[in-house]
Amino acid sequence: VKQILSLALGILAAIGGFVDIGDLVFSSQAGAHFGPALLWALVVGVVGIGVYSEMCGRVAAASKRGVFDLIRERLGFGPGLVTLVAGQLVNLLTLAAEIGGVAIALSLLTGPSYRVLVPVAAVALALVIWLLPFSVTERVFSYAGLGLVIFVVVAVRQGLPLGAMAHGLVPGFGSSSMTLGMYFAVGIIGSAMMPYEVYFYSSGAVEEGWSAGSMVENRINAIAGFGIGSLLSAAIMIASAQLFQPRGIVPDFLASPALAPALDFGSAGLLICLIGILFATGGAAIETCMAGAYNIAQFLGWPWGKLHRPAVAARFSIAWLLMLGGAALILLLGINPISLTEVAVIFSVVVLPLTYIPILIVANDSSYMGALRNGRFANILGGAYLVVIVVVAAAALPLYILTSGGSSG
Amino acid sequence: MAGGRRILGLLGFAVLCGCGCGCGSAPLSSEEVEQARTTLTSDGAEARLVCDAIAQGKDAGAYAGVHLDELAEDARSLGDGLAAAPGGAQAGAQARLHADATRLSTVLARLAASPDPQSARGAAADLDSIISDVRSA
Repeated sequence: VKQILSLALGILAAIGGFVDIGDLVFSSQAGAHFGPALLWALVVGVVGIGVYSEMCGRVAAASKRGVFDLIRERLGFGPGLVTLVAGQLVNLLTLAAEIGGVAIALSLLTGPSYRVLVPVAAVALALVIWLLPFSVTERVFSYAGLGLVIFVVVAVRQGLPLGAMAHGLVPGFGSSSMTLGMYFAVGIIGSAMMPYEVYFYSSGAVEEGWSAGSMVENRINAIAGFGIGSLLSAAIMIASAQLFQPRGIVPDFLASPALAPALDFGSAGLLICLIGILFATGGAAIETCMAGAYNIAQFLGWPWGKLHRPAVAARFSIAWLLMLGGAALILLLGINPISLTEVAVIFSVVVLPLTYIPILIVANDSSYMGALRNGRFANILGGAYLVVIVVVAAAALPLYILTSGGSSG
Repeated sequence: MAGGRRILGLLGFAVLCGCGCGCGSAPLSSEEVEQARTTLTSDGAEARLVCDAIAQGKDAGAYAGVHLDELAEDARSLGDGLAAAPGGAQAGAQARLHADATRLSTVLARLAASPDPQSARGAAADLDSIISDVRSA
């Protein structure tokens, strides 16, 4: 019973921790433009992150080493450095966007401008990372992030458009502009497969001491956790389609999706939603920040991990503090967090091959993996996704330019 | 969206200037004027929903005031962009949309300052009128 309870709590945490600012922005905007017609892109992204997270979990269990440690050793310093720099730039942009999300949610709850609240959000996140054990942080943020389940309730109460949802599972773009549809499809896939997610997942697996015996947990996390978590993104898309599409509204603000729970459930619904957004973006900010520090520490061979005291892993601690400070500075330059989110997701897509190709290479290397080396099924899925990743990476920037960041088609 | 365009500008994608964000000097094309109309209609319609939420006592925290401020700022910056771009073939529509954007940002800023049910009901009528004008501008 204890094991089942623990598993259920883990799945709940995975659901609450799935959504980040990229999912909120792209899912709500895609729903407003296309209804549920882009649900297929969410499925593509979620299966992709599941496939590669499972692979990363196996790599961590077999090698007991972080991804960037292996990338440097397996690919060499030069290609490893290129991967590190690209990954870190995207992590920094993503972290800035997530901190912006935290600041906006705080602003909507308390009143001051989000610009004033950016330093508050950054300091609060630093204190949480510094003071709380990671097990506590993870659970608190994930469970509070479950406030976003209110989108599922709203979507169901408004009457699920089952026929349109079924059509939405077949790749297509509905009746709207194909270029704009491709842009949002790329954004949705990118949001689901953000590089920080696999870096964080793999490093967490090393810290928790995963072994060959952890593979059931690995598969459940990768398949059930991400799979069920994606239902929240789908619900945001559908709730947005129900409220905004008939009125011709394009939800360009983080506050916009919260209108659906507000109109359906009043003040209580609005508060639950805003708290959900606050903790979902806060949790993602912590994961992104830690992923950045994990990457650089693993690449340079420093002691790393939340299980070490800051004095033991001083350079690792300085790395995540610098990540937080740098991201806050980007926001203080005056860049709008929603625009930043779009840029972060699109540039994440551009560097996706640099994240996922090395993982596939290492996962096929018997000298690291032993009996946990990729099987045929994992390689077929991994290879197929590599093609998808390369195609969306090549298309991302041209689509961003052609659609002016999703504002015209 | 203007922030995204600015970043692209920083990255050297100057080709996107003249897009209505106030960053360029080319006259607006009919597509860009149409885009401005769509954005203004969207802002107005979204503000109308916020009005409904306030009027029905469904606001919480500082949500309505902050969100209306965002919408007002968006309308204001769009209006500035429309005013800054030189008039071309679309000069008439451009001028009318600029006037509508100014009205919209004024109504929203006033409601954001005191987002109570009575003010929301008054603003709702103004918003309906502005949205209708934007659609026909």
